Amino acid sequence: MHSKSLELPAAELARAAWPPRRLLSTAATLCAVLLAAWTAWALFRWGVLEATWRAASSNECNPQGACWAVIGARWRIVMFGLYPMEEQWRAALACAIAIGAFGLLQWSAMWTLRRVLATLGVACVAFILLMYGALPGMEWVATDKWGGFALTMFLYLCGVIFGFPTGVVLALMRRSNRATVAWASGFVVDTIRTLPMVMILFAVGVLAPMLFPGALSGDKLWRVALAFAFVYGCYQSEIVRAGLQAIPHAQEEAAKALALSPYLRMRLVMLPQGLTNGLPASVNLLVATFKETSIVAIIGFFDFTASAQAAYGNAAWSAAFIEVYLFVGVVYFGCASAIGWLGHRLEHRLRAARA
Amino acid sequence: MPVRFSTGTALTLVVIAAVIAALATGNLSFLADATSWQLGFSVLPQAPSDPYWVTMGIAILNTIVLATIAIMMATFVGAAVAFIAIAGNPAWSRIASGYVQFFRNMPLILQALFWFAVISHMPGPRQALRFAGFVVSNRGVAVPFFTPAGLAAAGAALAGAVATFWLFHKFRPFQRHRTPIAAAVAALLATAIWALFFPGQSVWTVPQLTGFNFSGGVQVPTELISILIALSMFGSGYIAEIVRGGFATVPKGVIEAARALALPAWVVEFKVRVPLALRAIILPLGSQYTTLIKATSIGLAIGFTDLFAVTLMSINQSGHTVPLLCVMTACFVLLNQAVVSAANALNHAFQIPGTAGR
Repeated sequence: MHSKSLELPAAELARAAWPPRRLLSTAATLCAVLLAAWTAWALFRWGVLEATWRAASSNECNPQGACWAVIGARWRIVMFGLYPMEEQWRAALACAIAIGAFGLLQWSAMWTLRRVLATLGVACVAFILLMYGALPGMEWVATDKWGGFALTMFLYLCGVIFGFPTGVVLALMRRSNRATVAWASGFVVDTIRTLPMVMILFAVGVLAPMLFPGALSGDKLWRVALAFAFVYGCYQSEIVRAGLQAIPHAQEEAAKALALSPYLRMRLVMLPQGLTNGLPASVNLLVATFKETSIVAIIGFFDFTASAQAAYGNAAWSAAFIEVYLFVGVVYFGCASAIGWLGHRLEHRLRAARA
Repeated sequence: MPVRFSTGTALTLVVIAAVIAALATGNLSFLADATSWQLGFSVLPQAPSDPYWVTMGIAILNTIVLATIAIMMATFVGAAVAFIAIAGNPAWSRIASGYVQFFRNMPLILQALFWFAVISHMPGPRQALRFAGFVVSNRGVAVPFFTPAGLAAAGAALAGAVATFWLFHKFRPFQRHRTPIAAAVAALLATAIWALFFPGQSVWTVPQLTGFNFSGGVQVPTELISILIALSMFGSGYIAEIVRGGFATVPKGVIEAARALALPAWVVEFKVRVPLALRAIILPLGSQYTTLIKATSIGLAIGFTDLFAVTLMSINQSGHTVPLLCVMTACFVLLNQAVVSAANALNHAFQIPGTAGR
């Protein structure tokens, strides 16, 4: 017998222990912590210690630090666009109502379909009334003056409120037993999902008046908002359809056995389960849609992104673009994260309720 | 019984419908007229005397080139971030997830505008920043690139490697040491081609400042580099999540069984974990690629002349709205359908017979 097979494999074990795992992982962790700490310190020094908070133009700012004075000087353009100065309190109130409605939805007592729809519906109506100035004593502000964060909020609210029911309807149509209906809705949904949203919004916003001249084309903002809602509805319909497909077949058969009408079948049995199944994907889509509202900057609307460009686009502030984009980016990030976080909480709650 | 029809059929019908609509709403003879304007950026030379159909073709090429490079960069960065996230170090996986959150939650157009502003504010060519051969100035980025000699050698190396692997697959003489043999063949072939046809020439050009501009290397204009960086970072966030999700589907028991069989670590990673993870990655990755292709139309916001921007310019100049829109719709549908079909074919090839994927 070979003597090597009898000896204790201390030498092999020692060799196998190199490179020592714990030392490597500790070194890697240390690198990560140092990197994070250095980045945080550099950002703190640039953004807080050396920053200039008030100045008349970007030339007066400390070049080593951030020039937050641009936000102080130009925040009205960024938040409200070209909205008339005296009426901007209405736009601010409208945005506050929208954010307040969202905050209200965080409260778990509001998590039934009826209450959610009621909250969003009331918020949307109040938003539109305030922005237009339809209440007595207010001056009328046409939609071409709407801009900034208020415009982004409007597009998102309209998109979600009109788009979600559209999506459910399209999904149900695609599942229909009538071949024409299923084929037609499938065709529409697949076509719209293949095309870039920029193209669809551009065609609706800019090119439609060429084909339907005059008053037939309607208001540009409403055209684009409804097109945005329809595109969102097409994406949402695929998620709803997948969610409905994931329901065990026995559920629908049991509902039929109980002699429920198709409407009651959908409302009481299929849709609650289908929408719950598709909730993670729907939350992702809601976050993505919020970011997609920035697309309208390309077709000439003065939304949050375009107003950021306008904010630093004059001679006094042209060097302060990083601060403006950071501010806008942080707001988008905050809103997107808030929507995603609310979605996750809802998901957890529904999964716990099911299990 | 709900009607079943394949998406491919539907989209083919869209293309046919678009062509018919284009023919019906206006004659397409304007396509042979000269455009009398020039594209800001084109991968092939384009002159104002080129007819519309040539200009549109070059615009399609622009979009394809941008989409290809952006997809490759996004996949590379996204996969790297995903590997950092699953490596097991809690500090690094937090950094990776922070990266993903950051770049997924910002709108793409904001990122594109940001990078455009950053590059536009860079110093001029005389005071340009240089590192590792790259030169960054307010005119864009000048990138070191292969000369024709280098391209020929690189092409020969790639062809040699692919041919070697294919020969091993077809004739199966032995399985060990395939990769070193393929690498040796590639190196030999590249050197042979270089020595035979381009002796003494350099393989690489580095951008040099000559006069007011740069010569050598490839000049990537500001618009292209900013949309490229924005698309890559935006896409890498989503791709990192897809790759990470794919690796999470690999059952722990399979890895433990592979280790129990005393397989070396690299075999466990590349022959067991990666093939199983790829089955869950390919389809979402394909649909993310179609999203990135559609997102190239954002280039309009910063002046990049992709298919969408050139279509709009053509509509402006020629007035033929609907035919041009139909042409653009057909092109996007064909591009997306090509990617989706490729992803489906790849997914089919990766299926393990007998499992749920079939």
